[in-house]
Amino acid sequence: MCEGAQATLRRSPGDVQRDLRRIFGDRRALAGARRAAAAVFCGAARAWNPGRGRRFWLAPMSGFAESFWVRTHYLFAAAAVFCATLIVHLTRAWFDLADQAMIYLLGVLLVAARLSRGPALFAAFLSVAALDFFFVPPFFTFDVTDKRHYVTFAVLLVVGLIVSTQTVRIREQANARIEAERERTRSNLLAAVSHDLRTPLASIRGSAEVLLDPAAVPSESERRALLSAIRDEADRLAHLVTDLLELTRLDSGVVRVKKDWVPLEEVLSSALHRVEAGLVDRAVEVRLPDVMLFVSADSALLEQALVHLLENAIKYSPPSSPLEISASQQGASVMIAIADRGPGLAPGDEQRVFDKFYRAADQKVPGAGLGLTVCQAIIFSHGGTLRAENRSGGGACFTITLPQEGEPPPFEEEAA
Amino acid sequence: MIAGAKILVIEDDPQVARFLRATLEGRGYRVLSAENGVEALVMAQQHVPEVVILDLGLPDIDGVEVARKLRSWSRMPILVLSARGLEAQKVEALDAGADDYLTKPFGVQELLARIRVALRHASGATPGAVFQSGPLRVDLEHRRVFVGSQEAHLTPIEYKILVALVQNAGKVVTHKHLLENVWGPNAGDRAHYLRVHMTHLRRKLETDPARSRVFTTEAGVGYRLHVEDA
Repeated sequence: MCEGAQATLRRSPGDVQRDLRRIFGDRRALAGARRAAAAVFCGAARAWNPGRGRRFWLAPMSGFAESFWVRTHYLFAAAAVFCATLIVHLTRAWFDLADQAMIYLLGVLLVAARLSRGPALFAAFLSVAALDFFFVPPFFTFDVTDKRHYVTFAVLLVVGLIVSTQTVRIREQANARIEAERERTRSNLLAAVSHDLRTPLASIRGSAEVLLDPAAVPSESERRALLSAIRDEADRLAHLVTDLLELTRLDSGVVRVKKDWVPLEEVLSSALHRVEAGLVDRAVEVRLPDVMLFVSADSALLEQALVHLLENAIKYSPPSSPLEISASQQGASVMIAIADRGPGLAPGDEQRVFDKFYRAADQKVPGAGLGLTVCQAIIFSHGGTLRAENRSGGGACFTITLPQEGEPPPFEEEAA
Repeated sequence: MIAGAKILVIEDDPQVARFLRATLEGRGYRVLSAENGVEALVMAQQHVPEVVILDLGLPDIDGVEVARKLRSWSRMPILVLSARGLEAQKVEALDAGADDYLTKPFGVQELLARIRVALRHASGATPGAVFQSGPLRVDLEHRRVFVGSQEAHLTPIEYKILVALVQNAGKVVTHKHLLENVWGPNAGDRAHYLRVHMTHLRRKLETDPARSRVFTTEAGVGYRLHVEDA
């Protein structure tokens, strides 16, 4: 293809831009160039580093999807060099060869930062070729009259190779770090889950065993205590399993958020009803606008989120302290705040409270540290946000912001 | 409680079946057990139980299908057992003819309360001329509603919704059922209107609408009018 392009360009050396368009516009020529470049490049890469070459270029080439992907990456690399060529061409009046080499280098760097090593090296080679072909006299040949230019080429190539290799390596290291971090979170999670699952199981099993043991003669009150323990621990397990399942379903996107326009009052009263037993005689102040406030949400999920926030507030504040719930329309969003008069959040906990299995310092409070995580996942699934902060005067406040799209359908009042 | 009422427990898990049997027999009910849908349908035909407790996750036939088949020839109350988060499944079962549902894991008291409600409805005990639950009193004959000694003024639609709930007091009533009751078979998608009317109804009839005790919402399913159990 290069021969053909050369010939075409020789015939009309005047307008480089038009000819570039003509060359790159020819799809067959481009495909040919790509094949040739890939072949040359793979050979070069293998020669340069055979062991790695096999692993990095050939392995991903197997399978149609991957080879397509790899090919697209090489296309991107070629496009980057093309852009560099265009920039160099447009700015050739002001820049000398060294500056032009720098612009190509920038292209190589970008390719290295975004894509893998292969396309980056390809971009480096292509840059040298393009610089020589278009901008080193005699133009539109690979001939070089001034031997000093070879130094520029060599430097461009070497710097390009080093930079691309290094950039890719840095990126790979960063990825490895993220992967390691993820792995650590995962194993922490596993440890927490297995601990929280095993403890109630051990208690249930142990209690049942005592009750079944003919040698053990528990008194009636002991017997009842053991039976209550079995029931309570089973409840704890059920709670944990429900939260875990819910979280998994939300994380994996299995849950379909079925949005409807629901009066917030309805969802809230339903959530309050579900935590009734925990509220006992606690004062709950609910401040809602007089006009019925609608939210576009999945009512079952939103109710679940509110239940988690309420349970959290109940657990982390003294039994006699009041809870305050307020909601309002703020522009295109609905804000729902649940505030308590407990000890509030420890510094730095504002974000951490939402982490899986994160528990605030007070370990006497029962729970697995999943409620707020589930709550956040639900709010995220609605495109909303959940914020935790301390209130003035003491206590914590959790604020849900739910973006609203459109308007609730109109409602005609009927005559009484 | 109707002593000795016959209850068919359709549950494939032997542990749950055993605990249900122990609980129910302890309260004087006679318990029949079926482990799968086919067996259940045969037993229902043979023994004609007064209440059916149906687990939706059966090994052979879908529980919803069992409910539909039972309903095709009998009016016996069907109480469905299902896991949380499967609201759609519950609605499907209720629309197929089930009367109420319990979310696993459930407490024994909850189960017994549901069975009492089911038996009360099955015994044909139509609500008397006056329905009473806590401070709420509905005089169906004179179409008057009171909260304590105060009369509440409802719109025609609100009253229709209230009557539908009273007729099914203690049971969950699905959105679809209420919509059809109030707006007729062509109610279409008026769930939004229903919610607004329900909110109005609550504001008028609950002492604290934000912490409603008389009308509870079963998210994604429908509403329930609570009966103060005697």
